Order: sequence, then structure tokens, then C-alpha cells
Amino acid sequence: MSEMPEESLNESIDQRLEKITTKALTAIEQANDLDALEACRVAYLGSKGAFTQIMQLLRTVPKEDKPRIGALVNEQKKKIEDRLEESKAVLYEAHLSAKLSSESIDVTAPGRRVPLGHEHPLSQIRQEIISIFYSMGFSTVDGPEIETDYYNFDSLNTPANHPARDEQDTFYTNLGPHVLLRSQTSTVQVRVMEKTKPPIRVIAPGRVYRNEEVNARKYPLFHQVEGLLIDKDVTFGQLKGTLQAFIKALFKKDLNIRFRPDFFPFTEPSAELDSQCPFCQGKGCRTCGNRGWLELLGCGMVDPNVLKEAGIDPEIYSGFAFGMGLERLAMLKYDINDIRHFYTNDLRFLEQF
Amino acid sequence: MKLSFDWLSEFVDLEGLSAAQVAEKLTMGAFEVEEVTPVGAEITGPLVLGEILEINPHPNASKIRLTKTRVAPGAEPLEIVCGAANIEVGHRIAVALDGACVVNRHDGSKLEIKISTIRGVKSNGMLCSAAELGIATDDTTGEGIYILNDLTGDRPLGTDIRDILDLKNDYILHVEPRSNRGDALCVAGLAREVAALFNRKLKTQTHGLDEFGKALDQNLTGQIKAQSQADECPYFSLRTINGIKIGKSPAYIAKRLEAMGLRTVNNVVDITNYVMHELGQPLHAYDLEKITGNTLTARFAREGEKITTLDGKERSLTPEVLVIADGDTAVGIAGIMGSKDSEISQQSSSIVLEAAAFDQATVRKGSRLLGLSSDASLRFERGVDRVQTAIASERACYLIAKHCAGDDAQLAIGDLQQAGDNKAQSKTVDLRLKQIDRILGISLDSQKIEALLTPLGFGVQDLGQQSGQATLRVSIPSFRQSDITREIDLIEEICRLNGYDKIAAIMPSASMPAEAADTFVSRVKKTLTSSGLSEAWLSSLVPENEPGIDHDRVVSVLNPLSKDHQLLRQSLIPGLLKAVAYNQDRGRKDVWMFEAGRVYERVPSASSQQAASQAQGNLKGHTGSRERQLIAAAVTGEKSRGLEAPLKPDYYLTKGLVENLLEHNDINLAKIAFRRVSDLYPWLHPHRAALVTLNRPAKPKKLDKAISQSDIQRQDPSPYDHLDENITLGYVGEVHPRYKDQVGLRDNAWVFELDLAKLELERKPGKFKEIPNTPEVLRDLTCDFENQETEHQAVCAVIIKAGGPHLKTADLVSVFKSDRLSLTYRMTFQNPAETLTNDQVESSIQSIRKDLSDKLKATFRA
Repeated sequence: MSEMPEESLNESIDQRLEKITTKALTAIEQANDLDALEACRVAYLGSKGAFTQIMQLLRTVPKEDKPRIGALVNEQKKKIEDRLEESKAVLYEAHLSAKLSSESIDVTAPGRRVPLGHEHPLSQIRQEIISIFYSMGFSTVDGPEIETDYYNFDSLNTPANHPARDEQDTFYTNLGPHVLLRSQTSTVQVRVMEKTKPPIRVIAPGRVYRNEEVNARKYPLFHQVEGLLIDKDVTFGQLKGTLQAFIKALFKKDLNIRFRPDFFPFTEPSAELDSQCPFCQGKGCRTCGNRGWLELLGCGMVDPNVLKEAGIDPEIYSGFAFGMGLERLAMLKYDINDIRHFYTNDLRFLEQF
Repeated sequence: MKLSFDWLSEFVDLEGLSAAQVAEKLTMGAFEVEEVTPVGAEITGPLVLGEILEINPHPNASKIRLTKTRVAPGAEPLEIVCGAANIEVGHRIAVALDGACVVNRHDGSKLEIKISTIRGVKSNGMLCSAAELGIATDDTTGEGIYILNDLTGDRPLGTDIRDILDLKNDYILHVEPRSNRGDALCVAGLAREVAALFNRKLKTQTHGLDEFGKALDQNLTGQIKAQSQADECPYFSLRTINGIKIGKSPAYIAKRLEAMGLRTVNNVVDITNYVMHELGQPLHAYDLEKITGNTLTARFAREGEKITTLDGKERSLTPEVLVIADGDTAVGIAGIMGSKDSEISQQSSSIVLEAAAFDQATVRKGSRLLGLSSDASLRFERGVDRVQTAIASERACYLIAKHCAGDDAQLAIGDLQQAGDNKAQSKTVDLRLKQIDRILGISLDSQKIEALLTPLGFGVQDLGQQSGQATLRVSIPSFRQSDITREIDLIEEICRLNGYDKIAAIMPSASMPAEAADTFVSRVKKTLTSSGLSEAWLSSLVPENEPGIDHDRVVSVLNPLSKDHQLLRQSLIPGLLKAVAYNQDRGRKDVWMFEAGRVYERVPSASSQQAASQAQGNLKGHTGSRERQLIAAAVTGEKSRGLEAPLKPDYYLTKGLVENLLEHNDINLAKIAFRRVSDLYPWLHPHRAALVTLNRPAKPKKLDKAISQSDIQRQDPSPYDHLDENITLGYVGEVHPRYKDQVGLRDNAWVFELDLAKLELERKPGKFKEIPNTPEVLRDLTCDFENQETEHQAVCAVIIKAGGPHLKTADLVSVFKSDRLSLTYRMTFQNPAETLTNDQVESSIQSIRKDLSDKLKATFRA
């Protein structure tokens, strides 16, 4: 290296070592960035550096001096290395902090998002209902929407000329006088019981049809979830327990509910499950028609005639069934005031869920 | 039905109960009360009988006068200002004093009376008009004061007017009718329920005809005899009444009928309606003079027999309809409506009163066939207690004799003419006590059951042990014999009388493993929502002119209320595109939507018969139709991505959505091929659409003779020609510009539609393969084609086939069109066993080049 002066030949190795070390330490002191520091390291400790060259002089040292000189070399080298490390750590921190502050950004500017879509609220509540019942051991089954009057009515203890047939304005089809669009998911009850031996625990979500004018509360098609549990010793008390647990899980709170007697041809006893109106806390408002209560779902003990129709002995087995309107529950849960929102598919609606 | 609280109180002791309390109890006792509404405005005192002693002019006004009115015997008269012109000294009138509430005659609202100063003179109350008292009169202006001299008799001044005029507040309970409880569609029936639910006493009714002793004439000449020729009319009764004067109904009857929303007609017709609402038995009155012969007969109609019903419509009858006929003509449709020709008119002086029992199903069928229903048919359809028929007849006869007798005292009441019998049948149902516990989860002893059932007319007899089980024999009252026929019916009755709230809620004991539902569909939906598409739920009922419908396969609705809901859809796309247009019309540009939903089709008759025979006579579930679940999407408009360039939809983005959907749901894209299609649906661009198929040749369709015949006969191509192919999973494409204009889309749109069941069959969850340690080798290859129509899929297939076992992927990375088509592929080679040599890779590329030039006439640049 160039700073290796010729006259140094006359100096002792000790002196030269001292000198180089002093020079090196000064250079390190003066290096004010990492690049300069690296240059220092190369200039003194690099393979062609000043210190490396002087080491080669060790060969000329008399044998008895070698241990002492060797120790001295190592000591001086360590001194330089330590100082390099110290300085590097300081300079690295300084470098980082300069770099970091130069990298400052507006952290409040908008994120760059992968566009996301929204699942329909009816899909969401449907999935939620399925999961809740799944946790209680209910499997999900399916049935056709185009149905025979046998499964829609006759098998459900609703023979021809039964007034209850009138109350569900049924759509009939071009496929024959007995083929209709199901007016209730209860059609699945006997279909399941024919195929499966008790114990049975199923729910059947699906689309149903009623021939009604469109308004804020009614649409000619809507969705229900049917439930059916058949086993030995199934009681009305268990029906109450199951549905209470369900309502609590769906609305995530203890709604004040009541079981009110009602009539359905295919259950006996039958009940309507009402919840205290959450909009007025039971005081009476427009949503609940001043009743203070809102109908949530219909339920009851499976009528022995239905069990017999499906080939199940009502003296051995009993069961309960229930049916709920998805739209109704969704309207309640999300505070939606018009059923038509569900089928208009306005993105300003869908994107709220 | 509408139940008057006041009327109810005539039948059951309601002392101390409010309308709201009764409503609540009925609701929890299976008769839901939807609403309780007050009748008219509420009128409160002090409202007293007064007498006008003096009438003087008002010192400061010309149109109003100042009266001195006495409102208590011997009291100082009060000065009251009055504007009405009809008052005279000596008139007895209703005086509303300070604090009273009456009806505002201008708008029916509540009017509170206060002592006030009118034009400088203090007025101590108000003299009331009829309208202000909530009474309907002939005075249409409502201005005249209601003069009570004829109505008050010798009642002293100061008497509460509400007692004199029967102005008690009433409430209407809107009770939801129960389809199996015809017996409770009347005041008396609901009174029975109220009595049982509150444990109150029923009031006994007395309305003996003895009161008219001298008018009763068993052998009245010209009285009409009753005859029934049909089992569907098991009891038929008639009573002839002469000397009637048709006029207005007494006020209390008119008031009650009006409160229930019924139109008043005349005294006789109103009384038949009144008794029907009171006792539940429909009645009908004929004008005797309009009846030919001396007998009325219940019989089935002759085919084509005509009748003009009370509503003025001529109706043609069929033999399913039961009628009431005189000598030769139908004068009424049994249990539904009388004829216009035999109607009671102002001139009628003799009537025939019919009270009968008609079969539920027959009335229902007739009502349906004729599209005609009435308050009477509503009741017969739900079942009417035949035992009560004669009682109702007598009650109506009593009221008619009392309120409709003519002035000349010629009232004559004939004997009850009867056909068939109306005697109570004895019916019992046995109830095993254990069954109550088994079904309800609550145990009740026989005393408790007896206490619950007896108030409703049931009789309970303890049979002790029967076949080892404690059993009760319950006798069913006549009016409940149609809805209580089985043990379970009694259990329900006990359950509701005891209270549903008395049953403790518990969880079902054992649990069982459940199958999770729809995991595939849910996952598909997740794939699409995470690609920026929102989910729509569309109507499956579509208009008659829905595009793309194959009318040979369509399922249609025979009785749609609206033209918009006439057919069952065969594709989700038209609905989705309508939803897209709807959103665009509201200013939304990026509309990316999907739906997972069903489509419906009629299955060709031959295979449907086959299906039916396969089901071995299981015709009860055979509909001759098929439902498939599809996933479909429509995308239009750029999706903004904040500061980054927006995502712009086109055919390839949409195809990419399909590919992502497949791959994310375990369907290997190597199994899939896209095949150009130009004639599938009217909404597809003929040159920018492809079928999504399995990458293998289609199997020939299994056609039986009948179907191939019908296919040959068919002129129009059907989308099912493609969709029925076993390898077709669906399609993807750009929306046809014509279709876009027709449905009013504001921007280009792209769609896809896939069959979820077919997709699910192709799912194959991956298995782990060892990760190779050897390096991958990348090579780019640009091939030029003179044929501009050369398709990527064909080129890629050749490359894959020729590339040998170590070619891992071949991705199209650039497309350039000039006089020729240039496609550049980036290929990766890898041998998991050892590092590939350059020579090995080069030799693969050579064979790729050779096959491309042999098969597709590709050329390569140096």
C-alpha cells in the first residue's frame, strides 16, 4: 500500500506496528459513513492491507522474539477490529435512521385492496342457521321445489278439501293436476321419513312459493327452513328447549320468547314461537302491529297421521317439526323493512352485509 | 272474526276484566287476537239529560243563541251557548258538561268540553248533536241538536245519557279464525273459551217463543215443508213467518253489525246475520211469495242449471253443487248464498227462515267451483254444530217476531218443519294418562284433566287400568266432534288449557352425528366473493316472454297472479343481466354479480315414464321435471383498486374467474377444455363464447326411440342440445350486443354459467407429491401461424403432448398479431430424479417444434 514509507525499514517492528495501528484508528475515527469504514477495513485488514503486509515481516523476526511480536500483532489487530465493529454499529444506526426518515409515507392514504364481493344476507343467515342446527346434531337435506300434492298436502294430514289448502295459495303447473310448486318446506318431512329410519334429525332449507301479490311483506316466492326430529320419547318440552337454544344462538342474546298455541294440520299440539318485539320492547309499534310480539316460526309435535303415512309407528316414536321463514328472520336480525330488497339485488343493499 | 267485547259480555261474566286482558288470554289459548280496536270515539261524562228552559239571543252575535238549561232536578239552570237552529223551549237534550269528551262532528276525533267564553258570554257546556254522541241519524249536516223527548220517558234530568242511549264503550277484538274450529267463529263459541280460560260462568240465554203465544200456529196454512234428498244435508229446517214488516233494524243490532264492519240491509236479513255471528249458525230467509209450491228441497244441482245469486251474478251449476230448490228452480246454493229471485224486499210480508246443516266438504267444493264464498260458507266449511241448528232458528224467529212484526198484528209463526235429524251423537275418545307425559313431557293426574276439560263441555270418566294403562274416557260435546276425534287431539286440548308455558324446556337427550351441508356450494360462493363478485338471489319465476326458453321443456304456472311470474326459469343469466341493468340505471358502473340457484325443466315424456316405472309405482313423488343447481355470474364495468390501475373485465377475465373457480374447488384444469360455441343462447356473442367441457370426446347420448323422434321433429335448436352433453359443464362468453341493447345494459358485460352437480362430480382433492430438489429449466418458444384462427388450446395441447415427461408447464406469455399470429410460450422443464441436461431440454423442444409445424403449420424464427 502507498502509505508504507521506505524509511520504515529502519524502524523496529514494534514501532511500525504502533504507527499503523494509530493511523488505522485515526482513519476509522474519520470515516463518517459505512462505505468509508469499509474502505478503512480493506486498507488495513484487507488481504492487501497495511496490517497484512506487516505480518509478512514476521518471518524476518528472530525466533526468540516471535512469541512476543506475535502477541503484539494480535493485540494491535484486535484493537483495530474492535474499533471497526464499534464504529460500524454506530454508523449503521445512523445510516438506518437517515434511511427510515427518508422513507416516511402517508400511512392514512387508502389501502390498495383486492376487490371483495358480498354474500347475500339470506345466504348468510341460512348458513348461520345450518351451523347452529349442525352443532345440535341436525343434518341438512334437500327436496324438490316442483312437488306433488301428495308431499305438499296429503302426506301432511291435509287431504283434499281441507280448508288449510286454501290458506296457502298454491301455484299449480302444466305438469299435471297433482304437480305444484311447493308451498312449504314441510314437503321434505315425509320424503325423509320414507328414506331414513329413526332416529332422524334433519333440517331442510329451501325455496317455497305462494300465489300472492307482491308487497312490502309478501313475495310470491320466499325461503323456509324446515326442521324434523324423530326418536323415542321426544316431547314438546324438548321442542321448546331446542328452539330456545336456536333463537339464543341466532340472535346472540336472550330474547323474551313465548310459545303460543296455533294450528297446523301436520303437527299436534302446534305452536307459534313469538319473540317480544325488539323494536319497541313489547310496548307495541308499527313493526309488530301494536301486538308487542313478533311471530318467528311455527312448530309442533308431528301428528301421528304423518308418522303413519311415512311408515313409522307413532306408538313407538314421536317427534317434533318446525318451520321458519328465512326472510322473516333476516328482516328481524338486520332490521330490514321491505322483503322486496332481497330480490331487487341492488348492490347498495347487498354491500351492507 | 271480529268479536264485540260488549256482545261477549252478554254470554259470559266479564266483571272486572278489560278487553286487553281477554285478548291476551284468548291469544295464549289458541285464538290469536291480532288487534283490539275501540268502537267509535270514546265518550265520557259528565254527559247528562237536560231541559231547555229559555232561549235568548246572544248579545254579541246573530247566529248563535244563549240558552238556560237545567241539568238536574230543581237545580239552577246553566247558561249554555248554542248555534243550532232546531232547539225549542221544552226540548230534552244531551248536555256535555265541563270535562266531558264527545265526538268532534267535523272529523270524528275526540272533543273535550270545557267551560269557555264565546263572544263575551260564558258557556257552561255544550248541547250535543247526534253526531257528537257518535249516533248515526238522518241529519246529514250533523248540525241539529239531538232531541230526546221521545226517548227518555220519565227519566229525571241529570241522568247519564250513556245509559239512556246505550253509549257504552265497546271494543272489537280481531280474532284470527282457526280452520279446525268452526264452533268458535261466533260470540257464543268464544264466550265458552273465555269462560274456560278465566274459569268464569257462562250466562244462560232465554228467548222463548212462548212470548208470542197467540201468534204461534202449528198448522199455519201455506207454510213451507222441508225435504232433503242428499246425505250432504243431514238436517234441514224451515219456519214460515207471516205478518212481517220490512224496515230498519233496531239500533242495537245495527250498531253491532256495523261495528263488525257488516253492511246493514233490513231488519230480517240483519237478524239472520246477527244470529249467525252470535251462535255460529248460518241462516237464510226467503220471501214466501216468491217460492213456488209448498216444499223446499235440498238436492244436488242439475248439470247446467242456472241461478242468479244475491250478488246479481248468473251462475251455471254442476252436479257437485248442493242447492235448495222449490218446485222446479234452485232458490239458493246450499250454505253459500241465496238467489236474487227469492230475496227479501221492502214489500215482503211473509218469510221462510232456513236453518240447516250442510256437509263441510260439499260446501267447500261448491264454493271453490263457483268462486263464491260468504260468511255462511266460511262457517259451514269449518263445521257447524248441527245440534244448535234449531236453537239458532228459534233465536232468529224470536228476534224477527219481536222487531219485525207488522203494525196490523197479523204476526203468525208456523211450526218448525224439519227433515233429517239434528240430535247429538255420543262420541268418546280414550286417553291414556301416560301419553300426555310421553308427548308433552309433563304429567297430569285425572283430577287435573277433568278440571281442564269440563268447562268446555267435555265429560270425563275414569276407566282405571285398561291394557295396563291408566285411561280416561272423554265424551266429546257435539260442537267439538269434528276437531276432536283422536287421543292426540285431546292431548293438544289439555296442553293449551293447561298453558304451553307450564311445560319446561329441555334439550333432546341423545345427540347424533350430523352431515355438514352444501360445503361445495359455500366454497364456490367464497371463491367468487373473494374475486369481487356479490351474490344475488333472483326470482325463479320469470315472465312469459323470458328469452332463451325452450318451450318444449318449460314448466309453467297455470294460475299466476302476475305476468312476471309465469314460467320457471331455465337459466340464471337473464335475471342476472336484469339486475345488472337495474344497478347501472342507478349510476353504478362496476356490477359484478353471481347467483347459485336452481333451474327447472320438464323432462321429455318418454324418459319421464321410464323414471316413473323405475320408481316402481312410486307415482306419489313423480313430477316429470328436473331441477339443477347452477352457478352463474355477470360482470361489467371496471373495478377500481384505489391508486392502482382498475381491473377491467373482458372475456379473458371472465374465463379466468371460471378457471379460478374450478381450480379453487379441486377440479384439475388439465381436465377442462373450452370449445367455441355460437348458437347456445341469444345473450351470447357468437364469436366470443365457449362451452366449458371436459377435455374428452362426448359420449353419444343414450337416446331412447321416443326422444330421438321428438328431437328429429324439433325445428328450433335448443340450448339443451349442448347442455345435455355429458361433458358440458357450462359456458362463458361476452353478452351479445343485440341482447345488451334489448335489456338496456349501458356497458358490455360478460357471463358464465356452470352446472354445480356436474362440477362436483369432477372434484378430486389433491394428494401430496414430493417437492423436487432438482432445478427447473425455463425456455421461451415463439411460434408463428399463418392461420390467424389458430387457437391457443390446440397449440398448447400439441406442446404438452410433444414435450415429453419432463415438461411441467407451458404458459402463453405473449400474443402478437400482424400478417401472422405469433404466440410465445414459456415452458418449464424439470426431472425430479436428476438435473436435466441442456441436450435433454433441447431434444424436447425439437420434438415440440416438429409436431407444431407438422400439425399446425407453425414456423419458427431463428
